[in-house]
Amino acid sequence: MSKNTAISRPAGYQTPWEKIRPYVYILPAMFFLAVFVIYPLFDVVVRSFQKWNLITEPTWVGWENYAYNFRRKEFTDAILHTIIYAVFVVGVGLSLSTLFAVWLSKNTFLNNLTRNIMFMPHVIALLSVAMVWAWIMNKDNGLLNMVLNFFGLPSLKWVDSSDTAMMSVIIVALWKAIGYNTMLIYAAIQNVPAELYEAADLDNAGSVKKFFKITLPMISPQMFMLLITATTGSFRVFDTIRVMTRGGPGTSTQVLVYYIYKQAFILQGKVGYAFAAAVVLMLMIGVLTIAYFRILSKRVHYQ
Amino acid sequence: MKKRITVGSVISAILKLLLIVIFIFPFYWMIITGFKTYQETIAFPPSLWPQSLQWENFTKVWNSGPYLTYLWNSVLVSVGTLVLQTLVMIPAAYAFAKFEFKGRGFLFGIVMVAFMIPQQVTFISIFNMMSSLGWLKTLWPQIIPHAANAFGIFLLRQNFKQIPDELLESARLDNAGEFQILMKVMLPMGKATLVSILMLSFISTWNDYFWPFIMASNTNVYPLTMGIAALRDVEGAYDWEIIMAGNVILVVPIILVYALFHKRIVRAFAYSGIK
Amino acid sequence: MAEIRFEDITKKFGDKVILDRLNLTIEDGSFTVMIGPSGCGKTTLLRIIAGIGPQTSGKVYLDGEDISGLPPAKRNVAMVFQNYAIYPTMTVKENIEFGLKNNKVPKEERERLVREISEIVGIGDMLDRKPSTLSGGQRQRIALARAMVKKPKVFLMDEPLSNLDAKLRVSMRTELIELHNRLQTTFVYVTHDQTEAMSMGTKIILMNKGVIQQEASPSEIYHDPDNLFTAQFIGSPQMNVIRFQEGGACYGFRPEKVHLRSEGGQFFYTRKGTIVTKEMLGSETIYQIRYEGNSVMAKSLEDTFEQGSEVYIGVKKENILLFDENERRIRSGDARYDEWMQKL
Repeated sequence: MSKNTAISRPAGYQTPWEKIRPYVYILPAMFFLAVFVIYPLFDVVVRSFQKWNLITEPTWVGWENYAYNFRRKEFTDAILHTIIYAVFVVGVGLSLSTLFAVWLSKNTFLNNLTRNIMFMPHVIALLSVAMVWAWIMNKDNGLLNMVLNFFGLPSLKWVDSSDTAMMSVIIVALWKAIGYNTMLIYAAIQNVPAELYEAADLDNAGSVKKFFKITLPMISPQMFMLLITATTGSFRVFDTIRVMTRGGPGTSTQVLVYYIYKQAFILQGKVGYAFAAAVVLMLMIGVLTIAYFRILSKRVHYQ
Repeated sequence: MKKRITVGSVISAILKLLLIVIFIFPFYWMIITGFKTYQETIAFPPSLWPQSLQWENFTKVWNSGPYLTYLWNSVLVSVGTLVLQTLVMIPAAYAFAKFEFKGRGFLFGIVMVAFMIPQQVTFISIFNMMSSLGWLKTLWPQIIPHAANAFGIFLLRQNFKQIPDELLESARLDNAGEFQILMKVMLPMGKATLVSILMLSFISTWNDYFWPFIMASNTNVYPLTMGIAALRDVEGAYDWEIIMAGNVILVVPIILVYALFHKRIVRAFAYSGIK
Repeated sequence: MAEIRFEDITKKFGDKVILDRLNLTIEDGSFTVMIGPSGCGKTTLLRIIAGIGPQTSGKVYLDGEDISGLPPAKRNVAMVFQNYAIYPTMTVKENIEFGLKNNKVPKEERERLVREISEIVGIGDMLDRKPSTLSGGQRQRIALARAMVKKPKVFLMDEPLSNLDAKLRVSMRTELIELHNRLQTTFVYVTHDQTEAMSMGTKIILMNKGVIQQEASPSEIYHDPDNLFTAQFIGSPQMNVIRFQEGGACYGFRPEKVHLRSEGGQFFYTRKGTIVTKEMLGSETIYQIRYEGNSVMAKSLEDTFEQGSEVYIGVKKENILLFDENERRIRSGDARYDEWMQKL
């Protein structure tokens, strides 16, 4: 019944300081968010309708930047690459992670060790991960090709061939993310009440049935959250691409963020195209996020 | 009931060991490559242990650029971001959790929206802003835009909200001022969450490549990640032992911290990832 | 001296009115218990005294001084919360002296007070421990010590015993009464437990829906209720209430005032009924008896009657209370009193 409030005096007796105090407390945060998140957001949208070379006055060009982008195969390919990357990283990643999480769900020494070691890539700079894998996947002296040759298989060109470059980048992303996802799913599984499994044992349910009828439904809210954060995270990929392929060979691994970066910083005077592409990226992420909250709000009353 | 060793459990254990190898070997490979000679890196079959430890690889890295500056910049940016975020986050989380004021819902909505907007969308605008402020030759563009940690504000507010109002009321009856309540009652109880948030913040700033890649315009303001990346930006054949030695410098501190505090770190990530 | 006076106190949460222009005086040195069903406004009133849940309008006076706008710390009151509100990150000692430190009490004085008070409440040997290692009863004592050490004019207590187990609650009750006798300061105690109210209070204020129903000593409130709500709220089992056929008035009598006989006779009010249930509680037995479409409870020292058997109930005239159509008491001086009594 009592309300959360830190204001402890009747309205008429409050000093001006007491009245503005909460606003003062949030002011720094709101200032920085307004300047570095909210304003840039509007700025990006407005600039996406302008032609601008960063020096002279921008001119209004309507949808021209969007039209230009969508006319170019390089751009639609970038969207396609982003989606392919996300689908594999998220699809394969979450499936494997779920499998590992269930497999390693018992608290034994070996399981804990395995989980903690798998998690390690997550705390390491993506830059270093990309570099070490670039070395392992090196087409001439890389470890991976040596292993392939050892088993009598031919060498692959990995990031140096447009056939295998995307796959290589995806493998690196999976290696980096699987331990983290496994850990989160494992934590979710730990929160499933043990009585449910005991009840299922009494009902003579097998382990596969227990997984699909108990574990999966019980952890689905977290799985869903993970699905969305992993997907939007994949949409933002940049570091591995920059280090391992620079979008190449050709444009075979060029993703949206890399396209935006290139339009803005490498190709001078085309910053309007970059803004329009950024808006497209934002919409892709926004739609997913909104869909997430929509679906989640329908499924929260679960237990 | 005695534990029986079955064929299945043996296979399972072997597969787990294989998994460990898959996830640890690249680190091992990075480190031993960093100690090899150039000839040894390209030798076939590869050696699993360097013939002799080439410590001069690290000196070469160190001498190929102003690495002390890079390291110092990384420390400044990571610690600066951390301090600034702490100062901004704590009062905001306190106000959102325990004060009632007009517009609270709307303003907190802004925090949540901010949390969802990735920098990969807004970086050009922020770059232009920094450019027109003339800050590009300083470390500020790597620190100031991250001053408000929306996710941190959200997590800390959740934590503060769980602290019973009676504690604050009791403190007020005990003649504690608002600042004292924050320092003596709220923060001691929110310490674990705050440490988690700051740990995540530090790791992500230390590891960040995208943001300094956009914002750091010359080597004076490069953080370590940029310096390490520069090892590979030279044209022509790469000296992998040098590149790997550089990465060892970047990665080993974090691995050591992880080895020591892995429980805390994992909990921090898992906690923030699920909620 | 510590008399608390409320003047036209109104409290709203949003559009919801909890208290509407309430006036009340709490006497100096009394052990005043505020009781009522949840949501009746008793805790709200307590928080208004403390200054931690300010009134929407109206004034509060402490010893004639207007404290309506004073911050909590300036009011010279101390409060014990239902969940004790012990600072979990401080030791027992730090908890107790937190207020003293904030009030800049010198160190020696502080040490002396903490030692003295913690001895009184019996936690002298656990000053360096963290609250999480202590039991509910011990935490309760810390909360008490924290309140006492400030030597306040008024002690405010919000259901302080409700989280303790039954046995501890009884012994703490006695200790609180002793404490009040020793300190002779004003205690304002909020509870929903009528046993606590009756046993500890020198004055009981019964509230319902933000309105004071009756303000009286325990025995007065029990024997001479002003209205039907008071009559039914106090007493266990509840007072039996039977409505007259017409006129909207009703009469009531307490279960312990019912005499059971196997044969009718000498009582002012006698009815023949059937025993429906029988609950044997040891020293006494509670019967539920049905007659003429009514169901009444009777508390008896005898357990000789069997379930299903027929029995005569008898109640003396002075034990029958009359209430009018507005549920207000009709006392024996009232003109309507005899009129209604004759209908029985």
